[in-house]
Amino acid sequence: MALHRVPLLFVLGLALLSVPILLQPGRYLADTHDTLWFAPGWYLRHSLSVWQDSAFLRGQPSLAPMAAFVWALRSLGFSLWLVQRLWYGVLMATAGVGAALLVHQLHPRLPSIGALAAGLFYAITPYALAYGLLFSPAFVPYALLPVLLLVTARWLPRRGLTGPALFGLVVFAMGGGNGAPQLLVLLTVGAYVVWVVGVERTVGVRRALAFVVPALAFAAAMSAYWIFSGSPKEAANALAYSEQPPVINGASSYAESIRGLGFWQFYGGDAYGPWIPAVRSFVTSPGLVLAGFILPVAAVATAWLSRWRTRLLFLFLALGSVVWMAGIFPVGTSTPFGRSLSFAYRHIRLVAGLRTTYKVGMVLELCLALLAGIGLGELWSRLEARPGARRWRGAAAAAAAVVILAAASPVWTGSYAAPRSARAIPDYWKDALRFEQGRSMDHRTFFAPGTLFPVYRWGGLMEGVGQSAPQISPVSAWPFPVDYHYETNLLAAVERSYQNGFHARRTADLLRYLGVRDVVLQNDLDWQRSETARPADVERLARDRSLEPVTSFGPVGRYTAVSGSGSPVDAQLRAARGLPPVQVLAVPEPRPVTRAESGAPIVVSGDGYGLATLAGLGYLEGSPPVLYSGALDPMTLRTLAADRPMFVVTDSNRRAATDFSTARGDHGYTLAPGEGGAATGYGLFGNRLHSQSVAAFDGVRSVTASPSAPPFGGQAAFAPSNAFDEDPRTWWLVGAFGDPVGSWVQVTFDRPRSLSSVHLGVPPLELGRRVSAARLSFSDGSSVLVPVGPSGATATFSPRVSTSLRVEIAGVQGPDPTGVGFTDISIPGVVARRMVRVPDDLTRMARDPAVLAMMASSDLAFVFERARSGSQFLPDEEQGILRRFDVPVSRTFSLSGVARLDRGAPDEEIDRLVRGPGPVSASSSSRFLDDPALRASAALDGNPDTAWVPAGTVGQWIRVTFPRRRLDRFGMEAQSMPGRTPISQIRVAFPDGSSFTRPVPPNGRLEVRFAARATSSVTIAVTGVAYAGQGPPPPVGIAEVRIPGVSIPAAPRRAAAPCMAGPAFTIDGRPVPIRLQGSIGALLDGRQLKLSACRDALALGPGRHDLVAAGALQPDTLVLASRGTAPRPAISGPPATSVHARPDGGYDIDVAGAAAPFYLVTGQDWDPGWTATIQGTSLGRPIILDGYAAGWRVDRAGSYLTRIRYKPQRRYEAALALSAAAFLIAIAIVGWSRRPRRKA
Amino acid sequence: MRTRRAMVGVVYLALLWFFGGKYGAAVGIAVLAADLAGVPRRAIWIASMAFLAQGVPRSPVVGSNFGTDHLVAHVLVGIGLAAAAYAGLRELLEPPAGGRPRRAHPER
Repeated sequence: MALHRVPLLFVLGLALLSVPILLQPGRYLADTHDTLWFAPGWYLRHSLSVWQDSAFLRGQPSLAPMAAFVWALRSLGFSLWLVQRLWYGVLMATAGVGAALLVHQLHPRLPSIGALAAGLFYAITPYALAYGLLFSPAFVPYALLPVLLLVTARWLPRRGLTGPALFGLVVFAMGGGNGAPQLLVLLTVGAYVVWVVGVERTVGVRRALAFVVPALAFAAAMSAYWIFSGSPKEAANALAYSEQPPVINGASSYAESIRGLGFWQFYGGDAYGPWIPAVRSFVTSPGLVLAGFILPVAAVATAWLSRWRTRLLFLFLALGSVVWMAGIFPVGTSTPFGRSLSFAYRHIRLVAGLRTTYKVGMVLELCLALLAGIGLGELWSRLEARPGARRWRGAAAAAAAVVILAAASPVWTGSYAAPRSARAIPDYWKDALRFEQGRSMDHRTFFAPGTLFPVYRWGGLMEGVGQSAPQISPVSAWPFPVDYHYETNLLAAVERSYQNGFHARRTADLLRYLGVRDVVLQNDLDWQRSETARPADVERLARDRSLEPVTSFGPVGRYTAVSGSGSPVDAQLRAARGLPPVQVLAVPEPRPVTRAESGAPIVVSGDGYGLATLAGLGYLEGSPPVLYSGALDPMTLRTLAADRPMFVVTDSNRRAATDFSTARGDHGYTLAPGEGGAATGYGLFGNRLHSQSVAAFDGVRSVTASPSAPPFGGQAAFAPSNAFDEDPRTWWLVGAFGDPVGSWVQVTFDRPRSLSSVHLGVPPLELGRRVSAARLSFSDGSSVLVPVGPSGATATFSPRVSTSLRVEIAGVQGPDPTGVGFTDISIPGVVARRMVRVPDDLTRMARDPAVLAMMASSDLAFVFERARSGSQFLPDEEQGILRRFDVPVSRTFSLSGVARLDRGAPDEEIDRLVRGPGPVSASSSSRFLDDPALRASAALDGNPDTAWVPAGTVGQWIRVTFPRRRLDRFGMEAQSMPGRTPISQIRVAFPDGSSFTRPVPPNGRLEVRFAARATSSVTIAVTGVAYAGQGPPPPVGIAEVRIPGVSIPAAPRRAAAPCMAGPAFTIDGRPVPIRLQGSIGALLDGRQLKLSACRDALALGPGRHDLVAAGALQPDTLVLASRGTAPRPAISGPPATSVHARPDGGYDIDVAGAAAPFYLVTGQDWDPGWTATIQGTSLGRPIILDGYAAGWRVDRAGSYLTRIRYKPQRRYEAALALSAAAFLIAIAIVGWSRRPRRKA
Repeated sequence: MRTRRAMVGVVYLALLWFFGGKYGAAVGIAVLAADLAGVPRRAIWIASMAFLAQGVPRSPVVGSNFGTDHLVAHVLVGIGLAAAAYAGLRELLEPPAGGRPRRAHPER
């Protein structure tokens, strides 16, 4: 390189190095991992271990070069934000200077202005500023791409190993990550080699191979450390849970991609603005949009006008890059290329790893920069001899400056803003972290609530404050189960109370299993932006009696709520303002992360949510070892016989589509086997059906529906089966915020049925959309189009025999984008009842006689919990508990549980519940606010202070049914008081069809006389009211209906609820009488009451059983428990252990005085790579203990050393050694080639 | 040369169909027809640049449907890319007079 160019390149590098300092100076930008920036030394040390006790480090030792840079500068005393900017500056300078040097290499006689322009064109782009700097590990290959091409171009024609060694060093400097950018870089270099060998023919094949083979060998050897730090299973897992091609290519049109845009996150936003504000102006500002096209046009012009032969390579690479970036755009109407890509994504894992097509943008940007820069340089030369050269050159330089200034506009306008950034972590947090560091190091610290995007009211981080202090072993719920399936599932279950609105009970019992000592409440999280629980809800943990308050940090109200906004009646806002920003709670008697456990284990069918239910019920008191049946086989189960395990079957591990994008864990309704594909839930136990709770149908063969929009797979409360359950309170809804036309629901009958009419009921969504037309399709291929009105439709058609009925939404009406659907699709004789078939893996294992014998004598329980929303604004998924379960052997069960009154239950069912069955009943059209105290029987209790009050006025009715009697009059007393609309007219109707109307006097008292008749009921409907006010009228009320000899005396509030039996609570169709432990008053007030069977025990034989508990009494949990006959083993404590954590991620555990079998728990998420040996003898494959951890049952007495290792570590260490050796060899080769030589 | 051009035409058409479907094939046919009709190569280059510059979105409203809301821009830029590809291919196969270039770096 000519020496006169050095100062220019130096200036270029210096300028680019300083650019990032102008980006939000003084603020830390959330990038990569908080631990890497805040504790780089810790990060580096732990890079030697492939297993990490943190979801944020696993598979990321590839970032060690970046961590080394950060550590070195921070050790020199640079502030965090400056280190970050210097890192970015180094990357930008490398990119720019590298591109300029590449131009000089490829086009040696080009004026320097062309090379400088190319460097600036490449280093300053929307791609670099808005994508590269926010995901800087992915930006390193971007920065080094021109350098690698430079090395290739320079050394390809030469002999020796210097070039290959340099090539390997550059690839090493790129680091790892998921490998996609590195692969793209190598493909680009490969294209260059093919070009010079095959098209330009400036290098022979043999010479090229002499460079390429050792270069790739060096690159592979030096990358071995990160290539072998993960496993193919993890890679597949990451692909399954990260963004999918339809999202990735949602906006990657040619028009956007060619400007270096098209990345889907650039176009997203929420109530708080664009997701990536730095790039928004490139899409919305006309000037910047136009400037964005200058570079591509200039590149094509260069390809046309220049005579530089290599230009065509870069033209074709640019064209290919744009096409690749577009991927399957436009989604849904793909080209053959798009369809091939989709197929390859699904079936070829390597291609699936390249599906984030935006990463190809770096190739496009380099090609455009090179072409435009070279075009400018050549133009500069050609203008030299022209008249007015200075003016023309000035114009050319100005055009280049416009492109650069436009690309750098977020820098010089000061509008650059990272999605999340923070000026500093507040002092109170530093105090809190210091406090935690002073506590025992054998435990974890649990940060609540978890979130995917931690935005505090003082700033945003990447993963949260906890990760800035990894020494305290922070753990928090992170939604995506990418690497840690079981731990993620259990943490989500721990969070269920405050994320989903349930009471927190005995949370400490779950946290002990996780090795948690302290719980840190992050009340200063901006819960709305972080999409997590609000502080007032997280406070449920502080109210959990199993946790003890320790201390708090920060002044009360600091950053806990938005000041000066919010409704003054918002109790939760008031509560938040009364909280300190950080609270610390302690788990009493915490257990170390790595430990020994003893006692009778609990074998649980289900998942972490089942454990949360069991913890709430007290099953986990004393922290018994917990095993999942889904992870056991009969042989392993047999080894537990001596421990006398307890077996518990729960209705958790539901097969359901889950939205992992927020910590709330929103999920769809429970799916039937075969529905939802493989990507359902947390993927536990290999997604085996027998370990899952799945939907099963009674009365029909199946109910299915068109796939709903991902990721919810249909909201839980609006399942398709709701349309066929004959319960008008439950609905099937689809299409919220989308187009529901074309969506369908289908019922398949258990036998062919003759159909001639179908009634379609629609939800009373007065302000939203509704179905206006539906198409009924039958199994014979015929169909009927039905117009649907506001109150539904009844379709009658010529009789036909069909095995199924599909109802498709053919039209909708209404302005708002609400979901539409049906309350009920009524088919005579068809009622579909959706049950949940709980896991039957235990029953299947009981085919083994030894297991069956063990289960026959052990404690056995079925624990069922109704799927609820936990929100007053969302209906519950289930109205009752309908379960299908298998009993392995004849057992006698006791029944217990908790239940509450269903406020939406019909009046007569409530009466039956509180009074038992009687000859007189009263029903009505509705109740005001569903209040049970305002039900119809309140008008028949002889007490004028109580009344039936419906939810409305005209059209409301009350019906009294009684043993047939002769009647010629009755009295009525309508309420006439503030808050009630006076009734002015009623219609009285009898079962024989006769009716008459009567005016009601202003005082509401009316004596109705009529022709005597024998009747069994009287219906009084409100047909007129006296209301002249503004707005909607208040409800009417009838205090008394006096029918001679007919009354329903009020049940005393203090009296105990009677033993009740009926169709609402059955097992295998037989009613099970149940009793509530509480007063009638408590029941009517909606309080949760304990329940039990009136009889002592329920005998259930082996085989399948159906439990139905639904009706006015709505159970929340039900437990069928059976005591075992086997004597409990004497409980001896676990042996004393001394745990030594090794730097390689393993443990040496000294066990002293083991007298009985015990369980050794690593406290690390289960992975088949964990091994344990005692004096060289393996303990076998690890089992899943305590809901997430790898562990073993150890049946060996005495004192000994147990070595626990993570097997992939050995492979990783070998790869590290290989990379280190290759690195040293490469350095030595380069150093040797650069040694000073004596002139001959 | 004629056979070579015909082969390039077929390959080009196949590529455009693959990447652009039936609309891509239609664009390919149009470009080939223009070439057969004697439209000068520079006109194809100029057309390419003119079409690329038509990728400007017509509305600044940003959302997840931004790409599909500006399908016309997508198509126009696609035509520009197709024209540039053809012009480049022609350039590659029919280089300016001077014959095969010599090796820039003699092998050592």
